[in-house]
Amino acid sequence: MEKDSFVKRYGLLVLTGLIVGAAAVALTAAGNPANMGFCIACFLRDIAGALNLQRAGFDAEIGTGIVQYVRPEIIGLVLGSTIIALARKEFRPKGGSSPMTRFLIAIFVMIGALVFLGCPLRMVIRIGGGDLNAVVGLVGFVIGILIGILFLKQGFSLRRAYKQSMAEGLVFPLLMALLLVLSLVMSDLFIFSKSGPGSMHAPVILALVVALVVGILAQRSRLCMVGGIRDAVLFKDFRLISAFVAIIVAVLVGNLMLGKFHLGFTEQPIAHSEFVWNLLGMVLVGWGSVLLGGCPLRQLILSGEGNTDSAVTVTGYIVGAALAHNLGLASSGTGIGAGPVAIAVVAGFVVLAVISVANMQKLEV
Amino acid sequence: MVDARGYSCPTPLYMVQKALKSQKDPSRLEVAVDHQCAVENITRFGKDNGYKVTLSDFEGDFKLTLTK
Repeated sequence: MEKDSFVKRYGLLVLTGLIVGAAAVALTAAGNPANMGFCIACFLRDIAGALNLQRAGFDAEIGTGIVQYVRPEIIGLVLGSTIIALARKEFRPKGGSSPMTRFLIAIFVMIGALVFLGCPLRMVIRIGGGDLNAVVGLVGFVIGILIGILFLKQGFSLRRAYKQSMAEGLVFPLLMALLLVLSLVMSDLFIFSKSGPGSMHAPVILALVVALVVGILAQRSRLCMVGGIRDAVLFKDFRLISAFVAIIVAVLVGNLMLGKFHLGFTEQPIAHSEFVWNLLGMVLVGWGSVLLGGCPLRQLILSGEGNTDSAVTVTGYIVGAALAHNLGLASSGTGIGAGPVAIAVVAGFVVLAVISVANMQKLEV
Repeated sequence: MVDARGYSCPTPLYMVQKALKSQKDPSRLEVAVDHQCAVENITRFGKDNGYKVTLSDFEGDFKLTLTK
């Protein structure tokens, strides 16, 4: 049988990567916070804020926190995935693969991401902007993935999922659609930051359309930041990692064109230079994401395809974001949070270790 | 037959690799999966390793047959 040609193998992924990178730069130019064109962790955190689950940086005079906004990007990614999955008959509702364990892992993945200040996608976008702190994060991310792979090789699995009803599979995408509609027609229900990163956003329609396109492409290409490094190590398969590289290239070129490229550790937008925490935060993200089977972006896409385990995972991210801010674990441009960051990160490692060991099993082959 | 239904990637491919290593005759293997991503991954792996891969229906899910 003929092997896939180079274009068939890498084409869609590289194209998706380039478009994600270009979209990130464009959305930033259109109003999103710097180096945050697309950040799943940050945007889920903002949604948590819009629902008043957290109000970090609350200013009594202004009346809002600094990271509260219903990000249409998140909604667009999920719905883009749903639309294309339904159209291609790939919408297959399923779940039941240790949902509560996934919820718990997701909380710590989000805490790790907010200690670092970004999900794997924003890490890559930050690297493309010249932020060397994100390279430190990448080192941690790789270490975390390698730890996760170690357990995969020992038979780690959150066990199988089972078919579920169409109604169950549609709950999460419909909730996202409802969130979008309500945020447009009854915006008083939500809290939108009047200052800080939450107040900075691209026009709703632009953000939504870009996210729908990226959602469709990400569903088709199975784009995943964690999968890229995982598959390269585990299977010597470099397809997913090619998208990872393509995103960096696109962001780098875009930033250079717009004069937004600043190489260095200091004065990077919405980032800090506490190396240990940048590293450890991303170890938590890498390890947890391998256990979950994909990065936060991938979980959004899967939840759009009717995977209710991923929908539970996304819910866990939102709760984790609220906890991270309410307990003072989330970092800011000035450094790590004032809360018990060290305790939370160590607790995260203990929880992931226990989950990793407790779910090692003999796969029946 | 390897039943990898319900497992998310990369577990199905990992199960296939493990099964091929452990069975006496690695020239033929059947595997059931329930999502397109696993179908693509296993098909690609099979082609890259000199197998002919055929896809069929299996209780409403997919069955891949790898033969050399």
